[in-house]
Amino acid sequence: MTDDTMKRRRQFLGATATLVGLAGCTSSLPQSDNTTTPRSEPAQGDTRTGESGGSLSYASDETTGYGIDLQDNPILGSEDATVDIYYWTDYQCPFCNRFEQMTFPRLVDKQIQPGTVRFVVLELPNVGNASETAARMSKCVWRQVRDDNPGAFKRWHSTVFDEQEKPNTGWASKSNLLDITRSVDGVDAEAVQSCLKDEQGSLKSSVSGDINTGKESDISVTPGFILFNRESEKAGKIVGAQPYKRFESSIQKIQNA
Amino acid sequence: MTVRTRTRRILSELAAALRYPLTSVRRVTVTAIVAGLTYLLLILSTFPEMSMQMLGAGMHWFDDTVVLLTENVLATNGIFGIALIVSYAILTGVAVTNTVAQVQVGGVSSLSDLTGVLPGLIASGCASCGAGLLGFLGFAGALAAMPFHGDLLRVGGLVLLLFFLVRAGDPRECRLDI
Repeated sequence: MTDDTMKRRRQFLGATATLVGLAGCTSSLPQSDNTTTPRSEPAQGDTRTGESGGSLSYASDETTGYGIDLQDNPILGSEDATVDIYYWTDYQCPFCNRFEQMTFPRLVDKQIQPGTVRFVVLELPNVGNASETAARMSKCVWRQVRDDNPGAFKRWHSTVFDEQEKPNTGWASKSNLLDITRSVDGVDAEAVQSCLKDEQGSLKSSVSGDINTGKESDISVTPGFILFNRESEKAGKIVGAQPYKRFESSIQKIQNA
Repeated sequence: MTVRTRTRRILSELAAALRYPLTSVRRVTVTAIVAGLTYLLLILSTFPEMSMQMLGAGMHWFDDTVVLLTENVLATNGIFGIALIVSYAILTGVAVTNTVAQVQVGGVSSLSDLTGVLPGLIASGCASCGAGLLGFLGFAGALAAMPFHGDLLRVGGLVLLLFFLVRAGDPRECRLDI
């Protein structure tokens, strides 16, 4: 990405954040040559467990038109989807849990499963020290399952939220999170433990990358979402555990933008 | 003045300040309305950006927003967090009612005696709302870094408001320096 493109993107993000914060959603991105067009064929490096395998998860090395590097971030949904949703989360955040329990299942059924939305998970550990541990473990789990069994990530992710307790009470300690990991089918807890120990540098940098992308999008709290029309490159922001209907209308706006 | 006498006087002034809004139906109503509005303001300020987005999409989202954010405070700060917000809202109702009474009894000039309530309202309001506004102002993580997830800040605001209510006492009486 050139400096000019980066500068334009930052200007766009600033304007978007201001407008969308007040109006609810949608803003425009200046037309850019750095466009990602929807692809009918999987990108090189994509791996997918199809619906027959009970999962919509897949891995990709692509960088989206919005500038999100998908290599280290779990993806759920169709790669031909019109709208991307980038979701910044913290495993210790009670409001993220509310989104996971109340809104996300409907989003999967009505938007992700039918192929309208592609959903990308990013980390924004902001509640306490243990949030960083959970964020790094999430990266390790994804690295371990992304090529052969990407659907296992969603099981791990949902299980951690199911086991969530009050913030900063010790439930998200490394040992407890590893215990939770052991209960998830398809995730090798010992491999995750080794990853946490051996890949500290790259894990730190991957989580920092997510945090910085969030900052550029003016996402400073969790849950935070950027909705991005991959064709028109228009984007909008949603923060908080807003009801599904709010997501539905915002997705529609972004689709038509 | 002994500690015991001083404590007794403080409690007596506080009781007088808290008792006044209960002395007529009208005062109870005003106090309840102000307390209700303050609660809504405080709850919405716990996640201002979300509140603005939801209300910006239409006022029909108002009740959902209040319920969602109340649940969020409950999940994050527990019953104690909600109790702090409710207490602050009620005390604000009391302070506003007493201020109105003070003005009615002594005229606008009596506001000079209200060093009791007005600064308390402002300062404690900042403390109470501040916990939510920090995130909105871009201090991500500041709330998490605070002891008890911002509750200590709210307790500070509440103590400040109580202190100034004690100073004001019953608004129909001359303020006693204690």
